[in-house]
Parts: sequence; structure tokens; C-alpha cells
Amino acid sequence: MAVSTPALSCERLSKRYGRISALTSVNVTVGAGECVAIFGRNGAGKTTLLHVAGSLIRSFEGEVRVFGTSRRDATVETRRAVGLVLHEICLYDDLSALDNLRFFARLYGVSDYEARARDVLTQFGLSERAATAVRTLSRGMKQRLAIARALVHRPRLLLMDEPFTGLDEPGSQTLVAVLRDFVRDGGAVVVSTHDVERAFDVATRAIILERGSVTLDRSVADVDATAFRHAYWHVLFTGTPRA
Amino acid sequence: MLRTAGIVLWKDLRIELRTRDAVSAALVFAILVLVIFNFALDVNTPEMRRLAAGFFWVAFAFAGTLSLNRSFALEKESGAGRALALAPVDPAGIFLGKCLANAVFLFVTQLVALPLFVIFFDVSIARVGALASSFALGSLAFAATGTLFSAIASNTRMRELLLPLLFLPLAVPALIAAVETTSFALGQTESASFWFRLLLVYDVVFVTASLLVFEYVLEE
Repeated sequence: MAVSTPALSCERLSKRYGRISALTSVNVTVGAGECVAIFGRNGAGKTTLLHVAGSLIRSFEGEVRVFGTSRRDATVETRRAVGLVLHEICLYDDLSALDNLRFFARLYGVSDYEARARDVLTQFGLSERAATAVRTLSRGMKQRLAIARALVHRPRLLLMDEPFTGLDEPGSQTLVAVLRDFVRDGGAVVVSTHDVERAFDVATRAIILERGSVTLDRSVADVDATAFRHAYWHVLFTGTPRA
Repeated sequence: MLRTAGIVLWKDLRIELRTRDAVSAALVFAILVLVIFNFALDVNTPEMRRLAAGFFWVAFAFAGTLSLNRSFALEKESGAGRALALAPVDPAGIFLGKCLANAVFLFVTQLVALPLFVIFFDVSIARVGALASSFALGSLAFAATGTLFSAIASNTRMRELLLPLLFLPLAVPALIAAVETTSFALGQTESASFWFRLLLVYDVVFVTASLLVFEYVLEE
């Protein structure tokens, strides 16, 4: 049986900021149709891992590949295959919601960019705000639009840094539904979050990062959400995994 | 590359049509400088009229810097520039789009400030075609150098200060050529073919050089 190329593979990934070690020999592989939720305290290395995977950080030790291509020489095709949701919304404040999506869809070479931009807006419940400048949208609406931007070019790997931040209940439910569809259609997702319930609604695997190292990597099917939440809280409050 | 340039140009023009920030800031500054020159100097003498093109371009050089500063500042807002830099496109296309957008803003600023300049300095436009060429080539020269240095300066804390310090010394040849070609357009000199050629060569050299190095600027 042919082994398919992983969407993302990190081998012995290490990253230092001066004297501070953000990631230490991290090994993570994410296949197509997988959604991996990454948990960890602030400063545990979640954002650094996503930034390396997303090519925002090019200087690191070890190897990171996206669909088999090293992130150090990210090609046009692998760039096209990745969608990124960062802490910043990465949108133009003075453009309308629709113009932002049109712009990024065209930039990524989406042939039906007009229809696709409108579809994604509708998917995230923003069609009534299509002509509204991003500057005037609420925080939650901006977050929904930021996620829509990451999806507008139909990526195969989605990297999301705390995407539930700022979303209200319907917004979170929409995101969970969209991610489920995305994973069911063969997409791969890596999502960093502190929201165990939301993550367990969609994730197939859960990882805990602590001080730049993976301390837990389990299939969600093998883990009880409540027990995991207690273990995670233990990590959050004590900084050490439960014995 | 041209496709990307067109998309980026469309985006910058669309933002400017919504906000009018770049043109209005540069225009107000240019008009203020022209007003100050008008009151501080006795401009209605033949000697001063011969220097009119110089006054215009001095006002425009500083006003244009304001507009260029904004060019990459808007890419920094909300991190949109990060998404732009990660897009699967030729960085040279991004530069070309932003450079053309800046050239359009600078050209429009000049056109709008022109009537006031004509009234204040009591000059007449003897050669309309030459004036349009002088403005167009001068704007492109400013935009080519300014866009590159605006991108570099945008990554620093003192970008408003750093841009004119980096960009104006390099723009001096273009500024001199632009003054000479505008003087010709105002009928104050008989020939400016050398200066037009210099401006054209400056445009070609700086646009080409910027296209080549912009990838590294964007990575930083």
C-alpha cells in the first residue's frame, strides 16, 4: 500500500530566541484528514511551531516539511496549499470584507474568485457585511473574516493560532462545522487553543506542548475529554505534566 | 509578475479611493509649503520665477515622502503585509504594483497642486506635453526609490524618520532632472532633452534594481 506524503512533518524541530529555547526537538506528523489540537501554557511554543510550519520563521534546527517540501525552500505550490490564521487578523482595515477576500483569492490564483469570496462570506455569516470596511467590524466578525481569508484559496493544510478567540457561540459552532467538513474532505488542520471542549469537538489528535517539548500526543478517541481537561489544567497551573 | 502587480495596484487604489489618505496628506503638505514660499519670498520677480520649478519640486519631495511613508504602513496594520508576503506570488509583482500605485498618487497630487503653483508663482505652462512627461517620469522616479525604502523603513521603529534619510539622497539626481524638465515645460529653458533622458534612465535603473532586490526586503 502506498504511503501518502504527510501534510506536515516536523523532525527534531528546535528553535531558540537568543538564550530562550522555544522548541526543543519536536517531532510531529500530521496526515491528510487529521485535525491536531495543540495545547500548552503561554510561551510553551505553540505559536512558534505554527509560525515555522507556516514559513513565517525560516531559521530553525531540524526539518519541517509541508507535503514533502522543506519549509526552508517553500515553493509556490506549497504556499498555495497552506492557509494561516494568526493572532493578527491579516486583513486590510480600509477595504471591505468582500474586497479583502477578493484580493487574497485573486492573489492565490483562484479562478472563480468572485463566487468563492461570496461563498466563504456566506459560510461565516458575513454576507450582510460584505461591503462594510473591516475597521468597523466587531472583534468576533474580524476573527470570522480572518478565518474566511485563510480558507478562501481552498488550502489543503490549515494552521490556526487560537482561532476561537473572540468568537461568540454561533461563531465557534460555525468554525467547528467548517473544520469538520474540511477534515472530512481530506484537509489537514493544526490548531492551537486553550479551549478543550471546542477542540475535542473537531480534533482527531491532541498534543500538549510544555516548555517547547511534546509531553503528550494522543488520539482523541483514546482520551476522555474530562480527564484530558483535568490533566491539561494541571499542566497550566503547575507547569508539569501529571504523574 | 504583471498579474500580481495589477492585483496589488487594484488593492492600493481601492484603499486610496476609500480613505484618500495618501493624496490628501501629500496635497495639504505641498500646498502649505507653496503658501509659505509665497509669503516668505517675493516670488513675483523674474529671478524667483526662474526658480519656481525648484520650489515646486522641493515642496513635492517632502510631501511625497509623507505619501510614501503610508505605503507600507498600511501593510503593517493588522498584519495584512504578512499574508501578502506569504502569498504564492512573485515579490517583484508586489513591488511593481505598489510602485505604480505610489506613482499614481504622486502624479495626482502634482496635478491638483499645479493650479495653485501657477497662481502663486505667476508662471505659465508653455509646453503641456513636456510638463506631463516631467510629472509622470518624476513621479515614477520618486515612487521607484521611495517604495523600496518605504518597505525597508517599515520594519524599523523610526520609519517616519528613516525613510527621508535613506530615500532623499538617492533621489537627488531625479529631483535635479525633474526641476530642469519642469523649467523647460514652463518655457524658462530652451532644451531639456538631456534631463529627460536622465530621468528616463533613472526610472529604468531604479525600477529594475528594485524588482531584483525586493524579494530580500520582503523576507526581512
